[in-house]
Amino acid sequence: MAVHRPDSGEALAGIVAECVEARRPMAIRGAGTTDIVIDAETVIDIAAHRGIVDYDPEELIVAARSGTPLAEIEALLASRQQMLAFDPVDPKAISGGAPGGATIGGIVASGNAGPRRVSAGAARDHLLGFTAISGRGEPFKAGGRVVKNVTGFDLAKLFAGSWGTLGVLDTVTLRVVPAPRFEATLIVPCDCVEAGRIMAAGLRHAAAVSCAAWSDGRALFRIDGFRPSVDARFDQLARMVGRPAERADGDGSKRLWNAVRTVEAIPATAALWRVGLPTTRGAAFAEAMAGEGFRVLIDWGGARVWLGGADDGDAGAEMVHQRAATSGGQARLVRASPAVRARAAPPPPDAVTAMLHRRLREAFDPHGLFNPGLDPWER
Amino acid sequence: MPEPDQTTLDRRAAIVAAMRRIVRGEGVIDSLDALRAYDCDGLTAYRQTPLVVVLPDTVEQIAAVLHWCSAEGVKVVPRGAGTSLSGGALPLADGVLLGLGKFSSIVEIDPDNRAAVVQPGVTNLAISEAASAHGLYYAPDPSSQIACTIGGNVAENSGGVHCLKYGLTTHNLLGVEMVLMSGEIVRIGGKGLERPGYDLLGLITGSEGLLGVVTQVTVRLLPLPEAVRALLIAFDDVAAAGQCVTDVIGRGIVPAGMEVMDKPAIHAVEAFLEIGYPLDAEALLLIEVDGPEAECAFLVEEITAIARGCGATMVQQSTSDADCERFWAGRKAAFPAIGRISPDYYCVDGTIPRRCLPEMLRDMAEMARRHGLRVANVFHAGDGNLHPLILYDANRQGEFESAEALGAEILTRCVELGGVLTGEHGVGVEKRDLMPAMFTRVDLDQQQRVKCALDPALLLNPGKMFPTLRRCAELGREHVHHGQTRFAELPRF
Repeated sequence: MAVHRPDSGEALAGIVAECVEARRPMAIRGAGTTDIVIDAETVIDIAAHRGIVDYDPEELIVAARSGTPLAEIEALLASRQQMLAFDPVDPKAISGGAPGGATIGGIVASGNAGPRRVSAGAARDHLLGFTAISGRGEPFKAGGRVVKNVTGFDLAKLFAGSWGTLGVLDTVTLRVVPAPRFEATLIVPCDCVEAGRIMAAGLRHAAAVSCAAWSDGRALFRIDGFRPSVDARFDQLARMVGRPAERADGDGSKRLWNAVRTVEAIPATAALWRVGLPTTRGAAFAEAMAGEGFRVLIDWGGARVWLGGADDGDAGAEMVHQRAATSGGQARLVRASPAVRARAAPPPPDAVTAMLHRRLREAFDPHGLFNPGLDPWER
Repeated sequence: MPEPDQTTLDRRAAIVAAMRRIVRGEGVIDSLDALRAYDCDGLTAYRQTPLVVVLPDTVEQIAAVLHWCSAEGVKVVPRGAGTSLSGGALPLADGVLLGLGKFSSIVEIDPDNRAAVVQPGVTNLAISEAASAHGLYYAPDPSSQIACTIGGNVAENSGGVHCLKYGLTTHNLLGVEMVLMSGEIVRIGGKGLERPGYDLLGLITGSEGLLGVVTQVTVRLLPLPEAVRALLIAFDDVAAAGQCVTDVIGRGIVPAGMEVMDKPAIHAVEAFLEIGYPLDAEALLLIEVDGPEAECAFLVEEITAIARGCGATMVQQSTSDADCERFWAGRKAAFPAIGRISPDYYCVDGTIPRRCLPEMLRDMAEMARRHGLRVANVFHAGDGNLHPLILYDANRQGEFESAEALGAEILTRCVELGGVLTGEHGVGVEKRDLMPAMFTRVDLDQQQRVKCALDPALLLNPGKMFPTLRRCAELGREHVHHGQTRFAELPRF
């Protein structure tokens, strides 16, 4: 196996062009924090292609080479009391593992988002522009470095969540936001079904919660901003919920949300499912799956449910996919042993969607050289 | 625009007859008088009478129209309310104009999922009005919101004055149903937040009607803020106004809106409305905050202190909703106010890094002087979106051409400063030929290949967005420059 570690945009373009010329399939690798294995002799490892290209706190943007560690970007932003709004999570940190140095390219390409997704969006909502090398071996750019831009097709949306199948990211430009100066969490002991009801009501409320989750018998509502505002909104929300509740401030609140973000409630040994569905269907779905023996965690007010099950057989795939579909959603296996994963593929898309996926891939990677066998539909 | 295809023009009667077989009665318009009503959109300088107008009222009819046109090689231009400021809905002489106006139903308001399911012909404002009974609203608010439709908003990725805090259309959509040029129907997303596979919803949004015809939209709704407060701040220096905006953001505050008007705009507005704007100010900054009462009260004091620190010559705080409306009235009347002092005006739409505002205003004044024209500026300061209004008189020989040339110079300068050609109005016909100022041939070819993926025969809204329409087969070829392959210097093995 040949592993290439380009350390500049030119080197990256050169090696990709060379592989394209020779029609050599390439595995595109960041920090290797997911369990994806690509069947390709040539590996393009972007981890050495790192460094912040531009950080402009006043304009609320940061641009970095694709191999830049997420942690490096987050530390830099934190030094100016800013952050990435979409709350990205290092995949290795899920379920208590040590963070694995996830790269910003990997975070963007996997469409990453944490608990703040429900109020602030995902990577796709904050990727303003990028440069990449296409499957023709051509460097190209899309988007820009300003927040408001409708010039041409929004290819940034297409690349966020494309899992490296459309091109190799060279640099990404992301929008940043001021970090909240204070935060508090309303903790409401209740069962899963009651949580579904109060989370839906909480997210509709003018208190403007930034996150809502249910874990280990407690509904959690995060409120952040300036202290006087947080206090006033906290009291409004507590009154609306009308149940006995506790409050966690500052770091206590942050710890609670880090636990949600890294799915601490589900053991690292379990096969881990991520299910996306309408807010109002989440709690009933979670309740039903808990009844089937899964460990459950509800995030995004009900729009995301994490399931932990036995990492054997098909990890309950048939039932999980079927129940998710009846609830108006879809399930994807995030973590499992290779044998289990092989049996747990989601149902394929409808014929028109499948055709669009194929043609879009061909538009960027006509020879199918990037991450062969990796289907973004299944991730 | 591309030369009309004579064989299509010759087949007009047959095309009209085919459309009548799909859409009965008044839904097909072919009399020349009636067609004239559709000959332009909000960019009125460009006019073209369409071949025929079709106004379907079912998705099946849309699919049948597109399928037939696809099979027969007839071009189609989709149209919502026709409020585009970039000519996105400009008809083609040899094309069917497909109007979505009959799709005007709100299918469902789903308060617990904070979602509304609507047909594409529903106006932007109607969604918020329907949602308000549940304490919810739809955030993007383009200035044309009483008239523009959500289908057009999706096509143009419309913005508004509250983008800094609440995002553009693309950040506020959950799903669409769309018909491809082939007539195939595809559903993307739903009421949830996750959509597996490539982000087709993100790609469609802002694609200016080149990729598909949207037939249903699911939007995200937000809780109505408890309170809205505004501040009106005057500066005797544009740079100080810019610094104030920067300091507000630097303090960690993301206001709902931040608008700057320059001196010519202030004077035009004051002459029109007599609001009491200070006429000696070089720049007027309007900041709106929203949220709970406690938050608004806190932020108004914070911003007042920041403004004074930046040398503001006047700071007024709204104390009532009426104050708030009065502050905004001038900004919202800026375009008609300019319309009063000039026979015609041309609205430009570019984005620059915010800090470049003083430099941009200086450059623009110089460019305007060279063209012998006047420019007034309104600026969505929070996100750097600049709207220079070029004053001209269409009845004076060559003045429209000068205004257009000045607009192109301004936008090119926006790109040079690190900005973009269009912040919210779209490329359309207007800025099509400027695209190479921002993108290389390789960049544009890559975008066109996406067009080819969804509409290989280039029949849907051709002539918009791309400076040259290259056939898809041509784009599929390997790029060989002067007989050499790329990176010929690299070893091959």
